[in-house]
Amino acid sequence: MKFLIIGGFLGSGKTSLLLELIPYMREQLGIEKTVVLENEIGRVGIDDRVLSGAGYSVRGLFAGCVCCTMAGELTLTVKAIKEDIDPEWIVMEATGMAFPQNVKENLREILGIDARICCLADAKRWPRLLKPMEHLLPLQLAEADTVLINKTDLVDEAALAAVFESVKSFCPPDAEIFPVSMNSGLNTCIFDRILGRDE
Amino acid sequence: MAEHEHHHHHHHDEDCCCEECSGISVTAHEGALIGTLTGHIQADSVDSAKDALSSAMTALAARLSEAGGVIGHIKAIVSEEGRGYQISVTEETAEVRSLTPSAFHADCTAIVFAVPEDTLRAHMHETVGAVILS
Repeated sequence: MKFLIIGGFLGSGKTSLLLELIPYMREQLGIEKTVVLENEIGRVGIDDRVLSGAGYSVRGLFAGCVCCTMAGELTLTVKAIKEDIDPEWIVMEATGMAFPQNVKENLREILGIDARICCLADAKRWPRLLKPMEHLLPLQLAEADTVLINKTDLVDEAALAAVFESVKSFCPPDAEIFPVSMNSGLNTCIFDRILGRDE
Repeated sequence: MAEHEHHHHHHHDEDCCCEECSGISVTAHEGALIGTLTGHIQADSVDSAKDALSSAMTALAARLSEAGGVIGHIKAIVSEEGRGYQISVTEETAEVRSLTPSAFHADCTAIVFAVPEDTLRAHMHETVGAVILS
């Protein structure tokens, strides 16, 4: 069973990515058994209903964050999914406040799962958010395998170049960074990189 | 104790934004406040409900920004049987995604940093609280 963590700050486009990625996995790669694990900080789930409304198998973890307060629930839920469904992939949308590397570490230490991390950054809001969220945004990128700088359609070339350099400075040296606009759709090569398919 | 008594003796009118009166619950996590309001919207159709809630959420984002807050995400789902919308606000404008859900109510969550709880409650009550009836 493979595991993908989708991280990144609130409103950066994580649910939008899922809505593109899961159909690609099913229709282009023939992966039938994928479970989406949706973690939301609020006590009421919003994104899980968007995804389940689109016909996907979704499990929700609400009112907390799986990188800290709900770490125990995450491992129990993943274990139960493995036993009950045994999917080829679990794709987890983390809360916008999660540190994905903490989730990855817990999965590795407790369940022996080596997860991939894809992180999103909002090209338009990045400069404005970086200072007030300096304790969060850089660390969210710390162990990312792939990073999508989303909403490139909302910024000009110079602004995007500045965001790219800033984001890159917080990423591991081997992380792959892709400027994208989810509104325009993603190149399928990027999905393969997110899933680590040709490694 | 004084605050506890306040909650039991204060004037519960339409302007009151305590959880009992407004239905708005607020929790905290790692420096963020998470305000949640669940209820019904009185409207002619799901489209007009979506428009009213979208406007209220945009107004909430503007008010919280003016109060010095950093908007994390304000998101909601509104639907009737068979048809609905997800609304998402991070800055000045709302993004709307069409859904084909089963029946459920209007739910709104606002995640914000750097504002006091009273400010979030008051602005949430006066904007989305005027649209979603808990």
